[in-house]
Amino acid sequence: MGFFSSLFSRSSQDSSLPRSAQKTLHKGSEDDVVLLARRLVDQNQLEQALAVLKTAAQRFPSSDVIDQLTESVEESFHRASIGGLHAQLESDGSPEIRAKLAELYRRVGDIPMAMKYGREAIDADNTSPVGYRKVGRLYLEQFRLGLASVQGINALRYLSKAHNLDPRDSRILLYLAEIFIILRAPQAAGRFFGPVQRAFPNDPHVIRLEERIRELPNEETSNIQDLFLRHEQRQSGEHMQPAESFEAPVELGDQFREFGESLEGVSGLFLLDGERKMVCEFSPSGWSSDELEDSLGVLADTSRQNSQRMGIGTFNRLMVRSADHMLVTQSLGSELSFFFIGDKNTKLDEVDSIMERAAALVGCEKVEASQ
Amino acid sequence: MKQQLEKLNGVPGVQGSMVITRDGIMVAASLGPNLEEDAVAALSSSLVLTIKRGISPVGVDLDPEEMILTAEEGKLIFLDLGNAFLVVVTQPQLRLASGLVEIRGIARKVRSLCEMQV
Repeated sequence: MGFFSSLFSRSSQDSSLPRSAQKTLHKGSEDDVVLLARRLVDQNQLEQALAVLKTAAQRFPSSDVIDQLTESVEESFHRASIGGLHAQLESDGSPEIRAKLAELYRRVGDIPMAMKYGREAIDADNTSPVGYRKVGRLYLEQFRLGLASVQGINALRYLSKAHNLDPRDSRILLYLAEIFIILRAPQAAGRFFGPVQRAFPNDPHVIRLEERIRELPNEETSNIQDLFLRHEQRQSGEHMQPAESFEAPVELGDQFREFGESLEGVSGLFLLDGERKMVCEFSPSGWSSDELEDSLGVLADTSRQNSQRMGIGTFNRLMVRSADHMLVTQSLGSELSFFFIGDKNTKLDEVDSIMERAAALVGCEKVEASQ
Repeated sequence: MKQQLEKLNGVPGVQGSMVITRDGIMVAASLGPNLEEDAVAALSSSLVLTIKRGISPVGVDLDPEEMILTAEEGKLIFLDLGNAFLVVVTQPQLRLASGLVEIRGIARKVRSLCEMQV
């Protein structure tokens, strides 16, 4: 049995069964085996019942009766175990107990409780990877279900932390690989999957993932934001309006130069359309639009999408100050994005004035002013 | 730290605040019921990462000390605390000239708390 087969399977204890029961299990009919399992359940020997059902599932792989009974017994077993662990929690404050509780709640489908104990495991010891792994896995499961990309970002964050704390944990490597498989990034997935594949080359789960990775075309980007944006667009692609390319007025180029020359401390002024194409630029610093088009486009998209997702509505403007520079990006209508990059001490009201004039040129009505 | 965040939330126009690490893990939060803490933390962090990459192709390091994101239904103010960020969510009509003075003052106290914890 491979590493992951044993990790994802139920425990096997059929050797503790009486000989007659073992005979039924290994040679009896499906009905007899199901009856044996039910008898064990009635006797409250849930762990043994599960071991019997595991063997039965291998003998009768297409049996719905066995599958349904297994699910029901597993849930009962996990719930019983939860009670025992809660009692243990009073005397054992370790992250491992909390992580076990998180896992059991996850298995019975109580995700909020699973998340609660996962976080408590982190609080109990933030140098242990256990809690981060549990929380990261919970987010990964939600990401798998096709929920918002923020779940994938959360999964990546927590699992990366877990990986930093224990770089050799194969489960963490596998979960990280899976995030990148969902994002359709086989090269990134391969970085985490490679060590697992080398250690367990014949494990059926590993072989399945290897096939999935092989089917994917190369991602052509190492930018994580880009990967998540593309994932979002694929998820909501059928509802999205295609971005329209913008037809710039003839005078825009000259005006842009005039704007830039009228302002002190400008390193670059850029205008991008809805397809993230550079429409207009002015760059006394000699920056090339080819170099900046992609990264500024990602910034424009991220600002718009994250504003909505954070619950503060339609994006308007972003102002960033670093030690030496200032960047202002202004949304002009639903598609255009205007970028100012310059000295950090440039007067904002002068930047506002240029943005108002640019907005008027491209037919937008309102520009948020700095206050 | 939670006390400072609650004090910050008492500033007129402020709807909530949180402290997140540079890699987007929440340290402390006091956000309103309409805001999901994990989402705001993760999305804030992803925005910071994107900004840092924004003009890196031309060799400029844009490591944010202060950011203000303005949207139709609110503003997000990020202040660098050294090893973490303070994220403040405000109403859209908050006057930054006056509001920022108070927010920065409390941010200095939160920064010193972060330094103590490290």
